[in-house]
Amino acid sequence: MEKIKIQIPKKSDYISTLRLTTSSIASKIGFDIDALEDIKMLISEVCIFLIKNFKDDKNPIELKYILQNDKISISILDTNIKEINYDIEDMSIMIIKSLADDVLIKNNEINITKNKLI
Amino acid sequence: MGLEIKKEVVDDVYEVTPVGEIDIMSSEEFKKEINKIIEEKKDIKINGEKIEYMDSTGLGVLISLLKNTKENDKKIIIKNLKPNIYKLFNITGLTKVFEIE
Repeated sequence: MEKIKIQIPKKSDYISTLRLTTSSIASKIGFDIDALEDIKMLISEVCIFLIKNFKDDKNPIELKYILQNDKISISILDTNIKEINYDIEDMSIMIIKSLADDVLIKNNEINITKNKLI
Repeated sequence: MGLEIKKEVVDDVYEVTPVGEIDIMSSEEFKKEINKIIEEKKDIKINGEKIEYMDSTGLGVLISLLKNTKENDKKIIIKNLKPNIYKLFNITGLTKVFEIE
């Protein structure tokens, strides 16, 4: 099991950087192209959701990646806010919930897991 | 990577071909271009074959385009979407809302 931590400014300018970085990290454990596309989309939508719905952006977004043989788990923490409220009809939330194998939203943290197809 | 928008009028239909990524950085520019096209009050065809990536902000622009064209009594058709982009329309329920070829 490997762990990676990253923090980036809470700004839309950095989403494409994060998309590529996350795809590169996920490729370490051998996800196929389709799964990598899903993972890129997932990380973008989590950031878009946070940027669009919670304007306070003084602090960076903190990301923790946990790589295992058969899955990647990413925790995205926004220390600018205390509680993440969301509408299930929000387009980003719909995309996140359908592309991830597991989603947990608690306090100011979003946790997503993507399993590797074996 | 960015976004370039090609457009031409063929048989009185506005054909729009976005080239590149329609994401949170480029969707404002996409919206501006689309708004100019709406003013022409023609049927619109979006050719998706050169859209490499799209996120929810890009979908948002297309939804507002759809509302506007309906108000003007015009049609919008989306064609040639790549599978990864079509998937995005599918999971957000938009395949039922848009006419997709």
